[in-house]
Amino acid sequence: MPLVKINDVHKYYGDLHVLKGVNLSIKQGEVICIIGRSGSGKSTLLRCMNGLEDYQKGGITVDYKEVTTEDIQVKALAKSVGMIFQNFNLFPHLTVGQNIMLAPTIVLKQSTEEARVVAKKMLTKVGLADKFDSYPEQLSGGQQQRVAIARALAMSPKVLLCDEITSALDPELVGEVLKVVEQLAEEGITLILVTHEMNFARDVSDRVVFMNQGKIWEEGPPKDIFEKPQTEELKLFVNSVL
Amino acid sequence: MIEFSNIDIIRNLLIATQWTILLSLAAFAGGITVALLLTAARLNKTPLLSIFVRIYVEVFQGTPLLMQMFLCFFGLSMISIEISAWNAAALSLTLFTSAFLVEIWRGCIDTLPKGQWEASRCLGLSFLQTLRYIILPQAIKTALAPSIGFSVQVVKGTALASVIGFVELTKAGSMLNNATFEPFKVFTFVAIIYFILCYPLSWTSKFLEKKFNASR
Amino acid sequence: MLNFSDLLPYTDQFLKGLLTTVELTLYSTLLGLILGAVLATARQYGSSLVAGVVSVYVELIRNTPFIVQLFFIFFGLPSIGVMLSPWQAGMIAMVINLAAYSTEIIRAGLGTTPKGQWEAAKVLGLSFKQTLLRVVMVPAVEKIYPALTSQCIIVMLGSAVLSQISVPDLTYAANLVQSRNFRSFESYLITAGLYLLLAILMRKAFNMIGRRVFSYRVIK
Ligand SMILES: Nc1ncnc2c1ncn2[C@@H]1O[C@H](COP(=O)(O)OP(=O)(O)OP(=O)(O)O)[C@@H](O)[C@H]1O
Ligand SMILES: [Mg+2]
Repeated sequence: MPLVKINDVHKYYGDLHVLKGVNLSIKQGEVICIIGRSGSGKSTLLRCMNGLEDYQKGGITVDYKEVTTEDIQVKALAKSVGMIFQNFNLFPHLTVGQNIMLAPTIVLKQSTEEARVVAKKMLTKVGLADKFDSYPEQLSGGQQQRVAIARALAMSPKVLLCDEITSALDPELVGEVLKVVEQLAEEGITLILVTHEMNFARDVSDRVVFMNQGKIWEEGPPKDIFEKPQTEELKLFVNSVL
Repeated sequence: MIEFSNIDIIRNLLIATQWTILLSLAAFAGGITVALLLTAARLNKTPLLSIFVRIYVEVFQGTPLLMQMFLCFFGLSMISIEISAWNAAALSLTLFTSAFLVEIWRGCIDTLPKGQWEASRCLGLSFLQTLRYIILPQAIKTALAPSIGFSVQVVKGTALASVIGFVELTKAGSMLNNATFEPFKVFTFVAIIYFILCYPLSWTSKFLEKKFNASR
Repeated sequence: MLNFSDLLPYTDQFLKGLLTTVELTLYSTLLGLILGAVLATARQYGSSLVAGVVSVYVELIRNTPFIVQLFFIFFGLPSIGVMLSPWQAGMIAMVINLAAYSTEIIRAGLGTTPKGQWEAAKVLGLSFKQTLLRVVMVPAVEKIYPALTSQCIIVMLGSAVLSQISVPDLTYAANLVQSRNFRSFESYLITAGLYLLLAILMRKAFNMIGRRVFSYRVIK
């Protein structure tokens, strides 16, 4: 059974039909990049996968758990699914260390010592071992985003959802974040990324998903998607971004 | 008629001031407690609860505190609970205070980015955990100055307890006035004592507000 | 049990009281806001002595209870030869109260005026007074209009205390009625309802006036 299974999902915002029957299966260890125009429903799809948004029809299961917006379900999902946001969403009143240790201690009930060890390990992984006692405001955008990644990793999720995690960064800081993500991909964590970084999508992903008008319009290995687009819409899109 | 020296007047007023302070503390502590509950109720996704809080705020901010005190005093004694002036005053001031605090805090909480809630949810924090660890610690910083500012209104509000017969500073002033026929002097003293109670709170509130604005 | 029918014979009393409260509110709001605007100007642009005097006044009023101010004016002032009717004393108390709070609020609004507005007016040859009244005041008030509205409502609600010096207002009517028919809870409940209605209508009125005065915002 696939790790993530999305089955004919429909989503409405009021009258606006945002997702129009999305089907997608993702295996353990796959790296998926979702691309598409603004408003095509990429964020919405991602946010449906961990219960931040509800959907009206169809079904989603992640790691054998059905995804709903009920609190219990979301809480259970948090142990399998991590999420990184465009604007980091670090907690400004907590130090980097506290940001990372918070959920492991109060959700996973780890001891402070245990959580601290994990936090230090994750920070080292993203190259910020010396920032344990800094506050988010003292860090650059790229560093903040790496802390956010460490915070998500500390929950040892099976899937990591990333929604345009480099879009809010100054161009010179994009590289350091992508490098961390690439390293995670190599380590075999399942990654689902919404991204506008086409080079990254081409080089790192196993499969690229092109969304258009609330549907998965075309999907396949990055080579095919970028070099042999089948549909007119994808051709136009690829030409406009490359 | 008994002669009252200035010292006598002031001593009597100060004794009554203790009750003003006690009533203020009770009202503020009660108000904070109720406002916390109301805040949790408002933030909860149950629409009925947040409508209730809206109406609660509208009613207690839209009617005179004096009327609220009368209603507590006469209302509770009507359903044959023998109620003292202290209880009625403390209860109505608590309700009044909570209605204003919940509204003040609403402003502070709603200006926090939505992402704070979403990130907490993604990390598996429950609603109450999110409030406790993420939202309140941040909101308290912005809420402190206006809350302390409002505490001045609470201290001043306790003066209305005199109307339902509770002997605090204002009531003591009225009684001393009746005994001395020196209203100018007595009410000047009363006003000075209130000022001494309130001004430090006003000052602190302004100071914190400046400090907070500067730190942003 | 609740029994409101005993209140019906006293409809007249309630209406008269309501009228008095409305009247007092109307006058005191007008006078209080005008005085507040003047004092805010003095505080913001006046000499440091003037500004100092204004802020002492503001702090004195803001840090003492309304009822004590009222008693001071009504009971205290006659002993230094200033005799006032209850209505006059109540009116004065409401005006100085609203003026003190609105001084503080309007001043905050004036403080947000960009320097460029003053400079632009100056190079166009406008005097201080012209600049203040025609250029600066309206946008300044617009910024703090919601706070000003709330404060006017708070003063209206505070006027319930005037009944304590026998101003025949709405609360006075309620006191009177309940002393006759012993339906205290019902009397006060109805009265509270009337105050609530008044507060809601007042907010509506302020919003309507605001939309008029600040219509330049809507047009865009
Ligand atoms: N909370 C909301 N309420 C109403 N409509 C929304 C909401 N969030 C998104 N939408 C609409 O849903 C559609 C899909 O939005 P979504 O954010 O998923 O697009 P996206 O593909 O992520 O675009 P972008 O690249 O700009 O992030 C858009 O038309 C958007 O306007
Ligand atoms: Mg998006």
